[in-house]
Amino acid sequence: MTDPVDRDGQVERLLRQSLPAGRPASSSCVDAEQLAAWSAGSLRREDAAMVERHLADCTDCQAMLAAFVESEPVPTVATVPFWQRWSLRWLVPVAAAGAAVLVWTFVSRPPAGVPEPSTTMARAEQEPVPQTAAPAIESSTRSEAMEATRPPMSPRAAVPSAAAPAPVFQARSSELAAIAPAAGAAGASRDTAMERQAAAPFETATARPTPPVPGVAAAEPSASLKTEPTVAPAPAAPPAPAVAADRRFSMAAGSANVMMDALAVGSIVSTHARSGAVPVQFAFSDQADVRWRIQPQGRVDRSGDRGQTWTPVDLGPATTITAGSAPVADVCWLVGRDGVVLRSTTGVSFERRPFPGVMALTIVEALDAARATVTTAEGTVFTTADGGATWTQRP
Amino acid sequence: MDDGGREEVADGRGGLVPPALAARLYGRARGARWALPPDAFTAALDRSVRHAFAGSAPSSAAAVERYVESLHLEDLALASACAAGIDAAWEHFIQEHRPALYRAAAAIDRAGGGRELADSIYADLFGLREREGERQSLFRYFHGRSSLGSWARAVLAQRHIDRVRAARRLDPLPEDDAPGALPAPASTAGVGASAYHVAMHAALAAALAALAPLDRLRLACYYAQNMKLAAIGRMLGEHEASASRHLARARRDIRASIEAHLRTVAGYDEAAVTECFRTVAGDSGGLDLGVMLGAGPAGKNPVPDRS
Repeated sequence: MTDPVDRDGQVERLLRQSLPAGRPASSSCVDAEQLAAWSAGSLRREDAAMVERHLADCTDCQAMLAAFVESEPVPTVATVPFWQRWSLRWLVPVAAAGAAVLVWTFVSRPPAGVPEPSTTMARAEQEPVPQTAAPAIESSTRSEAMEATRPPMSPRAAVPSAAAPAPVFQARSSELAAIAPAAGAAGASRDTAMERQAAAPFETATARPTPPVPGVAAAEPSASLKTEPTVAPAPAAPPAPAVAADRRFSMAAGSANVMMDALAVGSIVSTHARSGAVPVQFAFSDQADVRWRIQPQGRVDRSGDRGQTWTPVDLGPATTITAGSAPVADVCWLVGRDGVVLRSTTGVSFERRPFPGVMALTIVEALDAARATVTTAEGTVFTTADGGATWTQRP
Repeated sequence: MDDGGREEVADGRGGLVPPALAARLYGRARGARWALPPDAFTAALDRSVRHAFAGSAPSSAAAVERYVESLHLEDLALASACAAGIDAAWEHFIQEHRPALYRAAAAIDRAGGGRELADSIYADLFGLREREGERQSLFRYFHGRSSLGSWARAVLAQRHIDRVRAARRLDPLPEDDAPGALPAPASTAGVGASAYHVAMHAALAAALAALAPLDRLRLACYYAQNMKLAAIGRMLGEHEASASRHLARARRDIRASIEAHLRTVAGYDEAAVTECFRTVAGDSGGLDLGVMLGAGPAGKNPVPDRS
């Protein structure tokens, strides 16, 4: 008896050898509107079944269907890191809550005027330090206590923090400011800054900066750096003393490398330009000649030769881009701080699109030249279906 | 011309959509953005309802409401405004959709005629043709059941197929000794082989007819239209691997059905069944899958102008 597998192969050859010759169109043929509606899945069940029966038997309509499918922009898989695919709306508050618990656990703030009990190692270490330096060292020791709960440092982060505690804090704050300048709020307490530090891994992982403190200018530098007279000057420290921040940023840089290695193809690229990180590329497809990259400083470069050479894109004065999306060839959306939304439909020049607010924008996901979704640093989502002329806030 | 609807209902006739609902949808569609008269939008909704429920009246007002709520209302308003000749809407359509249409046309017509194909529909979209003094814009056949972009791509695809077929009809038949001449049907070796072919063709036709429509569609797209698995998967909303599995299962079903047919209907024993498979494996005997998957002979009747 012949092997069924052989006969399956013979059936396949039989089907391959058989060539279609077409079948005349008839009044029952599927029209363009029906085909598009069927493809969109918006036909009633019985209508969809009828269309499928007809498509199954009519070579004319099959040819039209094939051409229709051929014309469809191929959705490409964006190389978004797995943590960005997860629900950030849950991850961020959970991370913030965890950070708050950590801070609450390791930091006990005595009421003003009450003598602080010297019951902890941190306080014991504080004694030889001049009184004016106490706040900075307190921050440092608190940070060390937090560090003790964390996994081992990366080799790059293995600089002892105790040697230069104040620069450590400063470096962390500056790094944080580099990621999320909006987080550097005037008047923010050290604890607040530490909460931000604790939340920073999640912030970097989710590519969302810390929401700005209400009423504070987003671009204002961290007040903790300005007002801490005891913070040691940075020159005494080596360039890489940002211990905890470094470890976090090594993770962030790793993620950026992942995105860099695999060109972020297609629609969604939501990454922050951050100090020390590699630029992030994105394009309509990995075969696209025109590619874009966002520099860590927020500048944007364009390449017309698949990344061989890059030309800076003139986006106007003081425009810092944080994320971009190239859903189709020649179409690119960019978002940045202060409610900046730019769109290019030519693949060359950009036009500013109106946006309802001046908040920092961190994510843009565009489907085409008309439809895009923008997420602010606070997680508010706005959508447009008319090329950015109008925006609707998602509930 | 019928580029999207077989019947066209005159504006304002019927009133299947309650005024309050129409007014609410008008707001959602932001028809005021184009200064689209509400009556024109209501008429478009009515046309859409009539088209969707053609032949069977909506069962209830709730069914109508569910249907119109599911429409691409903003696109419908834009199309209605374009059909009404509102300049701002037309300019918006050109600005937003023309690049995508050019790309789609280039993908459809890889011979370089994509731009001409895309440009060819603009006259009809704008409505240069008139009937009884009224512009007949192609946009009137957009009913909002898909996005405007998808509908426009479907119109392009339909135009392209019609043009290819029309051009094919005008092509002279090749000389008998020309390179492009179709070969004569393969002659079978003998009476036995011919009988095997006949039996096999009948069994295959029965097997294909027994398949589910979607399986037949997958087979046709893969073998007759040379579509890739990924494209078939996208079309049917399934993963490429799923499309491949469905195809493999359909082939197994066809094989089993053929074997059963040959044994029960043709009365062949196992050796004869094996010989049938062996015979058609070397020579399909002029089998036409297009005919097998279809119903009638191919290319004998002119194609009606569907656009």
